[in-house]
Amino acid sequence: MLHVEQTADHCIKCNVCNTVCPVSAVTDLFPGPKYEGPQGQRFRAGIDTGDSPDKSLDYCSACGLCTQACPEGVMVAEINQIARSRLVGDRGGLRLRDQIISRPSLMGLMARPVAPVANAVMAAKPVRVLVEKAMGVHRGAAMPKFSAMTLRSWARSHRDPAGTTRTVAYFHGCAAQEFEPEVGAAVVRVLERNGARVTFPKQGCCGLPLVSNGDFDAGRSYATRLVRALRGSADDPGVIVASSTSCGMTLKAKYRELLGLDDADTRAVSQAVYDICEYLVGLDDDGSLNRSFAPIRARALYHPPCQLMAHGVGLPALDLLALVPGLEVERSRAGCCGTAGTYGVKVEKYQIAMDVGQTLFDQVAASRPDFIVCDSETCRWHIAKSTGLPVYHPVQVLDRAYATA
Amino acid sequence: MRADVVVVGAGPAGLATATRLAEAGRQVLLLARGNGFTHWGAGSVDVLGRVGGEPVERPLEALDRLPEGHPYHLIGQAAVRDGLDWFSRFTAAAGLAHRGDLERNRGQVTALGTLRPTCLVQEPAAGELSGRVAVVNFAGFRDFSSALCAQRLRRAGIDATPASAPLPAWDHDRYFTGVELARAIDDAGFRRRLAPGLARAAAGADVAVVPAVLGVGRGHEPWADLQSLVGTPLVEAAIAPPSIPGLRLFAAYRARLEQLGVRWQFGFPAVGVERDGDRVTAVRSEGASRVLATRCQELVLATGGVAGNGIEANRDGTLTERVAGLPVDGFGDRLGFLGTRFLGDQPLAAAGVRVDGELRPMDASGAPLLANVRCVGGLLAGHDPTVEGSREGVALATAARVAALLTATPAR
Repeated sequence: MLHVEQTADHCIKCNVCNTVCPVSAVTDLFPGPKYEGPQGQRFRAGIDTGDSPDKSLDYCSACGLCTQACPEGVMVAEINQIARSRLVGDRGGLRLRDQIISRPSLMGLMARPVAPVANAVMAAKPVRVLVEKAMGVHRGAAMPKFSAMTLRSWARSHRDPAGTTRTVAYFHGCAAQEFEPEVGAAVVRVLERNGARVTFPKQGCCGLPLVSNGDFDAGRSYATRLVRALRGSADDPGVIVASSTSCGMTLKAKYRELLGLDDADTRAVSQAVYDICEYLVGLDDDGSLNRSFAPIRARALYHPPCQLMAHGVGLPALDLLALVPGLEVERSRAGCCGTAGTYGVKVEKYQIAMDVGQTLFDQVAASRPDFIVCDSETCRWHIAKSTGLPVYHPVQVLDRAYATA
Repeated sequence: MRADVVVVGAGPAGLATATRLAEAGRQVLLLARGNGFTHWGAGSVDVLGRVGGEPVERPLEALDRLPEGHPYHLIGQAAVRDGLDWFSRFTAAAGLAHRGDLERNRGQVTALGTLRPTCLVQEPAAGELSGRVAVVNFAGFRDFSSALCAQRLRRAGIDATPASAPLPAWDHDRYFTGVELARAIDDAGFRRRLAPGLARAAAGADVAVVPAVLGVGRGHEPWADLQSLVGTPLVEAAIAPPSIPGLRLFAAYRARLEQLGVRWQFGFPAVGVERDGDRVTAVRSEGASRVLATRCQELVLATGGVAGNGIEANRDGTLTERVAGLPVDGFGDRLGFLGTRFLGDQPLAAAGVRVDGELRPMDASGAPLLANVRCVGGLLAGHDPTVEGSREGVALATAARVAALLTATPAR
């Protein structure tokens, strides 16, 4: 298998990647994936001139659409991410803001004891202006609400159902743990409706925000810790489901592709990881999905996150939502909602994220669904803030359809 | 995952096959390693441009002169007609009307000032180059030289003069690509500001040739609107990739596929099949950390030839079909792969999979190898889509044949 940077040699300069890039479509600050990726790589590879990569690289949102469009297998977005890590290294590391927003588990740990206060403070406009000025987090950017109760504390009081026929481990990630325990609880209930006992292996942050912000060293230490924590679950029960598409994708592929972790333990963990919807569709393929859903009479718009496309599993959520009677699902025509993890919260990138998301927001405004469904948490927060509509994880919809059945 | 039919490849053959099967009610999954020839081509439908090096005027008549084993011989004229009829209806309904017919080839103007023989072109490329022709570039657009284009057109006896039209102030303060210009031209306000300068550049001409950048997200409406604002017929010249007419076509296919509920997946190539005797039961494709199997009743390979990555040329001179490991008509010697002219006759480009009349891959004795696998488009042996100018014709005709074969009997 080729190393990410070697795939640059396969570029035939056809520009297909430039036609799908949502960022270069709305700003000149990012010239386009081909120029930054395979073309820039010719000057970065081999001979070390001591020059830093061009700083425009930092405007890549790492959505990955270029990699998927490339007919020749060039890993354009990944080439850019590796170059960005060098840019960050040459700058002497991440700036304070990026250090903080890259550590959701740490943010949760600090804010949870005072969650209502922290949420109230962060909801105050003057505070957001101050945070923007001092930190560079845009005042308009969506901020998740800290939950007073973590998912794991909910799980401690949760009883395993009787008569389970299979066991799966749950990698909930930081979002379900710190901000959206209701999503994690829905995952557990939906799995239990399908005869599964759900285990909660000890775990921490996967390090994705650090990796996508360009601090690979810190990302690698998070990765190594998490692989160690999940290694046992990779053997028993052998299935680790993830409800965060981007964190699941990081475990599946980015440790290897970006961080160069290709040891037996990392491979074992990455091969055991399933996106929750991918896992449920797999059950359906075997005829073992519990299909007794009650009708939900509503119109929903489904937006597949870019990071889900990077799993290579199709759009399993669409297959599942189609099983809910009464639910009309329209598919998003947008490539990217704009936020791409922490990209859209940064003051210098917020407007780009809003401009990229405009295709989706226009579609929402035109079709006026009752709610939106999206697998990825940062996308959900960004879309909810930008459209004013409720945005759910697909499993929350299934959970509701089971509950009323 | 599961599907009635898995179509592998998203070039002209795969897109048409997936759309036609879905229109007939089959549940289709489209798997592709990335975008295909739509993005590279001239945005036309080439049926047959050359036979034995000689330009073809009447493509249907010339089919008979093709060597034995050519895909057109296997499927016949009726499939060619069916393929183009369907394509004309589909594109017209999508706001991308094509002009031309199967009886006579036309010349599609290119950025190099050549007139390439083709059958159908999108309406903005269809105007006749008669009378005085202004060849107009937009100032600062680097993929088109009006001087070069006009010079070559004059050699062909066309009264062509180069000209330049200024661009109105716009968002880009650096060099820009054709796609960026086309996106700007999608905007009605931009067109109103662009039109006066273009009209001045085309003043006195009966027709203006411009690079094919007249809108990318709104079908042919931007071209029609700009033409009426300028008051002179505008003819798009094919430019280097990415092909903007091709992007329009791809967008139309994508919208139609999504409307029909077709699942598609880009970026993860199919890498193998699972078999039960002479039937394929599942297609294996790369996932982020595992190879995934999609169960299917039928498999259509639209993966292209060597250039499309459907066939891999190995160091030992052998050729491998990448998905099902089908035998490929080979050369036995790497030196035999290549011709002397880069864009000339290249034996490797004609490498492909031999099939029977139902487009099933055959072994050396002519017996079908796999009962439920069909090959379409550039993957087929016996033709060189580039040199012959037959790419889209073979793609659409074989798609028509497969659609007829796989929808005649209900799904098992």
